[in-house]
Amino acid sequence: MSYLAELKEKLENMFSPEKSYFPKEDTLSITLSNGNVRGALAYLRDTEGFRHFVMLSCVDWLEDNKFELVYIVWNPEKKVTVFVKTLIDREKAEFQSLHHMWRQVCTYEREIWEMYGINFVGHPRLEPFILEDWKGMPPMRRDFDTLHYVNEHYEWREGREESYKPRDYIGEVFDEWRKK
Amino acid sequence: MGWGIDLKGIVSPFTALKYLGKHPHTVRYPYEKKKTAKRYRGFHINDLEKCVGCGNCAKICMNETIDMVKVEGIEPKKGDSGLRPKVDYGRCCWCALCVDVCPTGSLKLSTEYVYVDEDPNSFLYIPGLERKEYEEKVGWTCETELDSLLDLERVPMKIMPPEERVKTFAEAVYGYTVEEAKREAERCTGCGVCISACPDRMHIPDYIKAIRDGQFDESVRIIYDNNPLPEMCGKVCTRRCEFNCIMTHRAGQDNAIAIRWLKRFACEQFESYEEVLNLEPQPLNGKKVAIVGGGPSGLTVAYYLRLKGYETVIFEEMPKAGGMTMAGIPKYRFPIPSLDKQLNHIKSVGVEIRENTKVVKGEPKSSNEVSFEKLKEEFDAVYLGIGLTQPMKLGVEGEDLEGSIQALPLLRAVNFGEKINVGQKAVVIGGGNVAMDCVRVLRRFGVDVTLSYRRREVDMPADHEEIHEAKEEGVVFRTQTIPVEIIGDENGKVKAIKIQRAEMQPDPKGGRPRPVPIEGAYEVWECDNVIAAIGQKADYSFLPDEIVEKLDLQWGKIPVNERGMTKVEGIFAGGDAVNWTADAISAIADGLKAVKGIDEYLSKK
Amino acid sequence: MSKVVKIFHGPQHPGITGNMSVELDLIGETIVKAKTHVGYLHRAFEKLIERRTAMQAFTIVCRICVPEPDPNEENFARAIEELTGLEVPERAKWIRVLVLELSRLAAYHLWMGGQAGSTGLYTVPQWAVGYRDYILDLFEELTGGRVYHMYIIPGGVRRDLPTGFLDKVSEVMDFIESKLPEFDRLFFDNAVFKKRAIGTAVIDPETAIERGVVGPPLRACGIASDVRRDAPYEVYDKLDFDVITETGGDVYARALVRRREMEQSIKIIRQIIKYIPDGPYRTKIPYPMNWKLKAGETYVKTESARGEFGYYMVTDGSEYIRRMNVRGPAYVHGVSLLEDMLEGAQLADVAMIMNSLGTCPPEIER
Repeated sequence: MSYLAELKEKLENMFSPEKSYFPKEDTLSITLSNGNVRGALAYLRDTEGFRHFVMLSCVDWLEDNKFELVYIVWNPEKKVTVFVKTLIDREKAEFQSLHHMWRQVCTYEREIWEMYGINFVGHPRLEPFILEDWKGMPPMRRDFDTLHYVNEHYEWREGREESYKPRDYIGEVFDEWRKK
Repeated sequence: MGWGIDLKGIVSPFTALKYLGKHPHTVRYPYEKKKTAKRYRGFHINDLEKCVGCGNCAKICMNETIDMVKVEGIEPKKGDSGLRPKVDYGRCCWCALCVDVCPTGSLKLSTEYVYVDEDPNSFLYIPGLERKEYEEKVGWTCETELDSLLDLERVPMKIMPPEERVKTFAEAVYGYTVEEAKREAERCTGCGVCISACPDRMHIPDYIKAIRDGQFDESVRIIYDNNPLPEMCGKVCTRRCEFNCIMTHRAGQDNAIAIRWLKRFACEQFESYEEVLNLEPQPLNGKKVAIVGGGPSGLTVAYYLRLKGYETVIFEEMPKAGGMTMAGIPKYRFPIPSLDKQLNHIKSVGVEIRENTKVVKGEPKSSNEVSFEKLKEEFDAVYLGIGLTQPMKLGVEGEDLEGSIQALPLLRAVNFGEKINVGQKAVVIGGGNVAMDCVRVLRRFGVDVTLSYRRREVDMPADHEEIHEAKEEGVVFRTQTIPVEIIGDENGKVKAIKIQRAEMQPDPKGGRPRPVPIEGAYEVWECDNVIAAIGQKADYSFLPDEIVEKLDLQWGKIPVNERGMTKVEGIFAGGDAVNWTADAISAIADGLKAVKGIDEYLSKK
Repeated sequence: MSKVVKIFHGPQHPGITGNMSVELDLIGETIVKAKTHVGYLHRAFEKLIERRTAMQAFTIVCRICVPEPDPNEENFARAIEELTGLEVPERAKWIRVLVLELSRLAAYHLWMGGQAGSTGLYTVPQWAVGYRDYILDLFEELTGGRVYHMYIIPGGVRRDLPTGFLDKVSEVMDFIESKLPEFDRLFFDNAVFKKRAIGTAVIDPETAIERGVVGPPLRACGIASDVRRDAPYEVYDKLDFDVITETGGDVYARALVRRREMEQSIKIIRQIIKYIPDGPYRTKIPYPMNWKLKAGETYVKTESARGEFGYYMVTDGSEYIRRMNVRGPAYVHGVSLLEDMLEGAQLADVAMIMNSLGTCPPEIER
């Protein structure tokens, strides 16, 4: 049995994940309950040697009303990647900060706080990161409509009023006798 | 390092001094403009003649750089929307995806990339119309099939092998599977240029999109918006749409989006249409419309008028409605259950079809006959969807011999399951679809068939696929042969046909080349049957003479206005007897035209 | 008690690509506290991609990193290929590696200019940027664009190599190689640079991995970590090259790693010229606007000139990418690590340290 398959079994026994599978050969993806994330990451880092923290990402599953936090860690010896994922409620977007485990998590959490509005409890520096004077909905949320924002804040250039969709235009032009 | 002096580190940088006074690498003296690479992605150029205005470029542009606009002097026509791209260089990012999705190869990028002007509006221009000077500096182009981002290869359709085909009247084309259909639908760019070629203006991109999304019921609903015989069209339509599909520019005729097969696929997903469409016809409004002829145009008029609340009655001479799609088209192309499915749906909305009922002039002589005058009296409007039912004759000697027949009666007999009387060898004359149907049907009876046609194969009006399949089935093609005489034996039966070979000569008037008989180049082919499939004309004998006169026939066709009304008030007409394209989809289009006309006419009345 | 002075360093810096501000608390010339301020180059690419199909999004990703756009294209293409199960033809893989290595060389030249410029040695940038243009000429011929190549697409590359291209590459490689010793004499052996760089901004190997350090800064601590070796992509497993390490962990060691890697890149490119196979350069993909991407998730990484460039991508079965999160090396190097590295450093060294860590604001903010 490969190392990753063994690891999957171990993690399943220890943390009873909601879902675990291999997105590709050298990668394990495991979805845990909120409470198990820290324990699993600590286990991976300290016991299994996943010392390299790659990234923290967030996916907005608007339809399910959930945010998914994805912690990606890498094992420099075994050269395998693990995604530790957890779903949090979109309404009460809050999670514990893990900045003390890896210092760079700080930056990732700061960005996700800003872009998704997830509050990381215990984070030392939740302050604007990329955006400036941003008020309103955190922009990476899926219900933030970029086109709407653009139309509200910017003007379209003049001289581009004429524009046809060929399908509709053809329908119109060639269908005149039916319309008359 | 300590306090030791790094002598090497201090001295070695001074070696750079050797470049003092040397010619620099990157600055050119005297100034010469850098020549850009051959593939450079600069300003757009567009060949307006080649462009068909499909708008793929505008659609793929992630910056919304391109607008499709009207251009003076370019009119919408078949296969061309008449629109042309206009580029906004405030937004262009020079990715050249627009070039890679251009179906005609008209759009290219030039190697020119410098433009300075104080007028922001001059950064918006229509390539090909303005800034023509870039056209000499061609940069990024999309030449090969692998360069193109379009999916240029059609998902192949499975067809019964020829050796099996000739043994049976079972349907030869198997149809797409769900997976194949979705894959084929995925190729469609949704530009809508095909609509310009469809006589009926079906909503082609929309129903293909529905198939792509797996919403087959929605697809059928879209199709039924203006076509009550979609499964027929999905199987035997002349598919002008496909000939004008933008894919044909790069990939050739056979790789057009398989619009016909996709329509067929959507329709075949359902046992019956009632539940899918779930239509509720308007309550009857008390007005009645008589429809003479139950072909595609008649069925269209009856169906859509009934949905609008008119009482519609179809009078069909033959035992079954469907017109030529029933009597003319062989069943290996369009099986009877397919037709029944559609007729049942048409009947289910309340259309009355009176089969075996012939409309005649004067007093009816039997219970199977109805007088036209009575129809005119009893009904508020009459629609003539009579089609072309009289086969034309060759006009050569010996045509009345036994064994010399015409294609239409033969096909009709075969389709209605009647016994036919043919020999071992037959010569079919003609080059249209009827001729192809005829030869292929005869092959299925084990007859040795030779096809004689006056012109070349490329001149044949028949569908190229039909020609190909007929050849596969073993039909011998003898082109540039003109029948001269049918030779009979002592019993008055056909024994042979004498033909004269012809050569093609260019038409001095610029038309298509004409076959001119070669003097003395005669051949005699032995055969048991000669079958003429050279065309058909309409039969107006059932109409009272004064009405025929008032109809003011022109070259045998009934002139109608843009609402489908003839020159006689209250009489509408459509289908093969009216239009010159004489195919099912044009008949359906005529029918829809008349639906609108009759509705308007009767609402005013 | 000494007086603390607060100054803003930037947002324009010599030697780094893009704009970024560093807020410094100084006592005399020594920095006691550093705080990074990014946001000058935020273009919301990750958001824009939500509204664009895969092929439309492809033209955006190259803009994430200006000096080195190709690892982004490579990552994007490979992520889509992994998710949709698309096979890439062999020749396309070789062409991709050629492009990636050329871009690494170009990026190192730009870095060399920046590093030297931030140290006050202004001849090096003139040379380095000038020679880089020869590589850009190659790109122009191959891809039609000098900086934004938009060449590596899901399924392969957009066009085949032009005729005679490999000969030109070979010529340019010979030229670049011949110039490397001159850079040694002018820059890497330069007593001024050595004096300033050795012992500056040292990262110790123990913490380097835990801090998420990647690429040349990690290898400069003596750890032989290279994505091309650890998780070989395309055809790197068929190519012969060394993973360069140094032991100093300081600015100078990082410079040496990059300098020696240029030779490795040239070596790789020569192998490609020799062994590149014939064949198609692209697999056909469905029409881009209708291409439904199979639902899934993946993390792909590429070794860029600044280290591991990673993309986390999630698809949901629609034509659009659900989420694409870019993990550039600068995200870690340029924010939290930089803040720590600057503490105790001299004000004059700020630009040098930023450059040495491979700080690239456009990729931090996307």
